[in-house]
Amino acid sequence: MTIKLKEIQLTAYALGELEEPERSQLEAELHHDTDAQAFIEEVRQTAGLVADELMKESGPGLTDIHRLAIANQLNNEIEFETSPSGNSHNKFFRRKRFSLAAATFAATLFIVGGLAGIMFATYQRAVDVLHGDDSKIAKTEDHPVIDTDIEYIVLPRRRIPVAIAPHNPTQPDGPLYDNPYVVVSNNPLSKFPITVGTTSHIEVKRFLNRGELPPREFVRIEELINVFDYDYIAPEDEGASFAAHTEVNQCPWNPNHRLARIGLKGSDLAPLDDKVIARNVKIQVEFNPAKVAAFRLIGFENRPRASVAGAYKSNEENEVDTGHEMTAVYEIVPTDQAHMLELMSPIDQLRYQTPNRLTKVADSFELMNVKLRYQPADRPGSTESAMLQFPVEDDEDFGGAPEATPDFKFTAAVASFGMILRDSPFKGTSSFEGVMDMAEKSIRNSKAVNPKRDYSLRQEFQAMVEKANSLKKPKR
Amino acid sequence: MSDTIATTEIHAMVSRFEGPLTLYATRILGDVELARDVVQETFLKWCHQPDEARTRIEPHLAQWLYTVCRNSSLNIRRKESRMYPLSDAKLQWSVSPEPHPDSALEQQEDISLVLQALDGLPDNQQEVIRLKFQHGMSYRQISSVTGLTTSYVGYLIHAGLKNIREKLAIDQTNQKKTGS
Repeated sequence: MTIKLKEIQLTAYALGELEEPERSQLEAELHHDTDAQAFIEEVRQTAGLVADELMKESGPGLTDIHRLAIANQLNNEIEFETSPSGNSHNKFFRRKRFSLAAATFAATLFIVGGLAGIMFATYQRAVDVLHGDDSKIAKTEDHPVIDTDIEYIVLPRRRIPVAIAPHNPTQPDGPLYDNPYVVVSNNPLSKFPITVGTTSHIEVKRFLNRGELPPREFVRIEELINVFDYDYIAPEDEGASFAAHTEVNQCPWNPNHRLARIGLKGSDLAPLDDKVIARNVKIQVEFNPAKVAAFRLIGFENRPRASVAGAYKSNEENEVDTGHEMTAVYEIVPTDQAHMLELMSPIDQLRYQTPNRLTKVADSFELMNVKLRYQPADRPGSTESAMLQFPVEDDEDFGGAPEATPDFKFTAAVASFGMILRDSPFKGTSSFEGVMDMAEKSIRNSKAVNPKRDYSLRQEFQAMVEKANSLKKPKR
Repeated sequence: MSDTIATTEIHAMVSRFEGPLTLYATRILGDVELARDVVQETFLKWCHQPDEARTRIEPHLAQWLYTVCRNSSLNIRRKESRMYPLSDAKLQWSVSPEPHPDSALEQQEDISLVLQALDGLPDNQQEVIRLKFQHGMSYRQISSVTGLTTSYVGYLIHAGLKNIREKLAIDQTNQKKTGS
């Protein structure tokens, strides 16, 4: 197909896109050019056909959950301005404001519909831009700040199902059991992968949008946790590809237990152009039997074989990009609670062995040691591997009980939410109300120190919990 | 952020743009849920703008929303393609939602010839044609949303329409042939 410059001009003219003075010049020529007139007519016909078809399509619009999240956001913004101190005696007013603002907003959205355009004349003017005259829109310096690094996109021809698309609902890949407690004297080692997917987050949301609680096999707690960015600080040491950010605090659903959150963050510096910082990453956690009687890795239950490759790349090909974040959470039974172990099930206790001898380091404040082995990407082809170790201590051992950080609370809230949805035998005192409370506190405290952070996904989580709470079955 | 926008302007904005923006984002992402997330995020970004910035955005609100929505969608596409390398397991999932080959053929007959022709266009032509004829944008607006020059937008729309016209002409000839 050859395209002549003249034809492009004629198409623009046919579609009303030609500006003066070209427009008048072209019109003068057109009087004598019947071919050009016919061409313009053809363009208009085709354009009409295309527009007719395309106008039949309409967008799916937002769901209640998205609207609630926006309402939450609006409310939180107002709330933050009015009471930045976040004093707890304001809580009643805060809540009241929230429900009022959210309800007003949601109600207006649902009812007003088309009326909105008439009611808000100011906005209608802006909105008219879409169909309006070009001359209204001056291309000026004050154009929105946009990402100038726009590359041309490959649009999907049709809906392309990717891994995030719903699986066949008859074949969920999630496990039906929960990882049990492991007695440290029998087995002090635990592993988790450096990458996880986010499929479960989307599926849980889909079920909630449809007004159903997700079946437990669709709920993968590690995926729910890792959807969120935790803004871990990248390693400052140039030689290290990873930094570890660990925090240990009281377990919200079982006050006798501790909760350990391990956050790993890949370096922001790319040694190679391809952005890859490390491959073949293996993570191992060793627990100190002098401090920890038993541990339980939350989430990460094994998958059926066929789906393992999709969810976690096998360790051999495990590659990590710059800035990669990974969060894992362990519930820990301290040694002073060991007597409770017998009450919990299932526990794998060895019949023929007794606890091993302890090393000198065991007599320290260290709860556990996180060990990473990987092959740095700046040495391709080399089998040489690097190792990083991050011993984790429990702050409580240094006197006092420090308050958990907002992100710790948020991770705990997500884990607790996942356990309720899975009806996990380990959910303890978890409740939707408790989750909402933790999430709300976390976001409020975080905003006090970090108001510029993007809270939209966290607020959407709040909306998801509210929705789940409204769907929960009455107690039997 | 002030109370005033919370209760009035955003209502109008959401009800006016949620449909078109989710339609646009779904085309880029191929997934309705992701598209909704992106559109929600787009509205929230607007909320986060200081008052002064929102005043500046107001005359170009549509372009601003489409631009933010497009960039977020593209970022997610990049991120997703990184997070979900094509593996055997994924291929199995990818195949199942597609209709059986026979029913796919039947389904295709239901789709209008115009849409079929549009679907056959290069992706950049499809995008500008949709922005022009579905979202009612001018060349200049499309240029500001996509970052392409106005003359290149003109070229793409011309080429796209010409392609569709030629495809439809061929289909008509074929129909005549089979009909006679």
